[in-house]
Amino acid sequence: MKSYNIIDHEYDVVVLGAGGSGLRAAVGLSEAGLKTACISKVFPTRSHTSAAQGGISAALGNMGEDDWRWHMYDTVKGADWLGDQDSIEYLCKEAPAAVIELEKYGVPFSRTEEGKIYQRPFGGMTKNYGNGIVQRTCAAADRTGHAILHTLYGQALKHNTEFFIEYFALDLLMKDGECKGLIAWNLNDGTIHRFRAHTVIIATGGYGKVYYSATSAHTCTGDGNAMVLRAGLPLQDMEFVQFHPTGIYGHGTLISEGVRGEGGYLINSKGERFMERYAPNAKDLASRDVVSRSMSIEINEGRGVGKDQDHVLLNLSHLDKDVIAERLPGISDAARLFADVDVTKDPIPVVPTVHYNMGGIPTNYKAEVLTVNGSEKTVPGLMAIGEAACVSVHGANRLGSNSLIDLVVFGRAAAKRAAELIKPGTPHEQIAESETQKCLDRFDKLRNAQGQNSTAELRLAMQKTMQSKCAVFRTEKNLKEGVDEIKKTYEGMDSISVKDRSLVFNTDLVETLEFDNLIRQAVTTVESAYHRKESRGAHAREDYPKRDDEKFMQHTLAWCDGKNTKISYREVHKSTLTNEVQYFPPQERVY
Amino acid sequence: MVQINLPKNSEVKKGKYYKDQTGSDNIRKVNVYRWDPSTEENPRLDTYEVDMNNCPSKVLDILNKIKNEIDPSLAYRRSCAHGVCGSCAMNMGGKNGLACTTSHEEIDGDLDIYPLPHLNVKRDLIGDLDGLYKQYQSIEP
Repeated sequence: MKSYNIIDHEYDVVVLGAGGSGLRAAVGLSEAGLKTACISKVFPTRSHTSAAQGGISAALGNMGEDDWRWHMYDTVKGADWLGDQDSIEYLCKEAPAAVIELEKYGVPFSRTEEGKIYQRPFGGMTKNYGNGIVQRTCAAADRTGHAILHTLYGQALKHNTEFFIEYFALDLLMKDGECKGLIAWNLNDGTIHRFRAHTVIIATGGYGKVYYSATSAHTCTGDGNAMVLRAGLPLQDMEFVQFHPTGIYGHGTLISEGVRGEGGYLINSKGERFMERYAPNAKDLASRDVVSRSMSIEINEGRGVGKDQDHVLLNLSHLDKDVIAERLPGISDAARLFADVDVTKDPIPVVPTVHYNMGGIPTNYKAEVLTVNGSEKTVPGLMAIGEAACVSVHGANRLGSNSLIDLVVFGRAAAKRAAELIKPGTPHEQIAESETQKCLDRFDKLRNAQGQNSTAELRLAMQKTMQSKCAVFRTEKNLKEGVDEIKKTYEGMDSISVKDRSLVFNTDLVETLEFDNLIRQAVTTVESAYHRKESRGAHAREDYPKRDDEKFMQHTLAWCDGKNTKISYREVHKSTLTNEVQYFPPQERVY
Repeated sequence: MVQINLPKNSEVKKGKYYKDQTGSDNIRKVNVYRWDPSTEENPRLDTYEVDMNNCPSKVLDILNKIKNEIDPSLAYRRSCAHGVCGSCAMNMGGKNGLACTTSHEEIDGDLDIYPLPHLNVKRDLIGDLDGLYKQYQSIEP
């Protein structure tokens, strides 16, 4: 193997990823006086948090009475009782303060007439434990994520976080089950960098790109998740993939749930508001898994629209033009650009589209990464936050606007916990050279790959398999085929081809490394789905239509060293964090 | 009149020509600026014949098609693909814009794609944005 020149760095904490959660953590760490590096493969404001539209949930009560306990109940129910209630309590209780903090940082929230933060209704958000709709989702028009991301980047600069931009992370450096740092490749000049850190915080987002049609960016490849798998640690609840009800048909662009929050509704080919049949109370504002399933049933039963009757319509032309201009300007642009629709006149063609990964790196509410070895244990030196993490607050299905609040609450929690654990300037331990070598061997092997299969072909095969075998509705037969096909695609990597051997902005190699990351997550997703023989939240099995709390009120854990996968389970936490709220026992989930 | 010449190493040479392999009856010629810092060579303009029968509507779709099906070495930035993140800013048909929101039908004739002007080029369509980042950093929140 050709030897690589390695540039060494030492930091108290390294944050991997510069989206909403990574930036929020970086701000807190820098404030606490910890020497902090933030590494990202894209410039921070390009991160996919920028695409979040509708808003950020918090029981502020600006638009009528609200209570964080109601928010907690909604989140527990939305999660179909797979969420850990200690973490959910923490999320919902901390949410109002976290939003006020964002306001003070300078996020340009939309306002009510009295000048308070404007809040809109969102799917599954109710008052008084499921009795009526509440307005809980704080919005900056329909560009809330964009506003938050840019504001947090400004704050991080103010606090002198050191950024390493357009660095692609390769692997974690582990020693005796503890994380000691990571290795990254600088795309700008082709150099290899080794970062030692007392704690690495993974904030690399989701892995939507394992599917063919997703609202996710090209860069949503779950690189941190795959690094965790390669470090011999498990991922949790990977079978729970959220399909957003309203992705633009044919293109996948997200159309915010805020459209339905502001009064938009779905119609089928007969012009019926079909959600009234599936969710008589919440209607179009039922939670996302419910709406996506209802749409799929309408389409499967022949009531879809279009030449192939394979999508439905989202109507908002009845809304006041001023409301659309003021509160939904972004989706008006998106509909015009990607569906050639003027939303003030015509409905938008939409279809359920992969949007969010509830699963990811298991953590507790302090953002510390968990593994199971006999019993639940934390992994020293490793934390995870944001979509990459599975805290688990979203359980089997995330409610809209709960992801942005997850980013800032747990980004803040991670910084707080790191500040408790680390004394600034503590010297670093030596790490065996073999860890670096192992990482560079994989890098060098892929860089010089001379096989027959192009990365693009393998990626397409994986995406098509996931799209058809691990979709909204799943069966034993489909999933078994999915497991086999994904395994075959994985084996295709033995003969992968990379044409570009250079090191500066070698995006052929970047995409190949990303594919290596994606395929491991595809394997764990479809394996986890195959083993969960029940229906819960986003995981709907036609052959097991009922939820089975006795067998499956457990988190799936999946280890994968490439060709071998191991599935195990971990108990859902069945208690709250404090006695300010009671545990919500499982109920039937109707909207 | 003053004659201004480019330095020798910045002259854009004629590059490779990638002929269509699909047998499509609807071909568009796409000229793309290429420069690889790891070679001593001058920048060049490669031409790709792209099958437009199987290509969605945006310039970014053309670039993705070239990268996936013809030449994986082509380097450009891209992320959200719906006009939010700003990664794919470039010069298309002489106008600056986002490749993910610019419709290729709006541009007549052969499609010329260059990096954003007035930036140092790091590679192919990837411009050096360090100056812009520094300006961004200088703004006090």
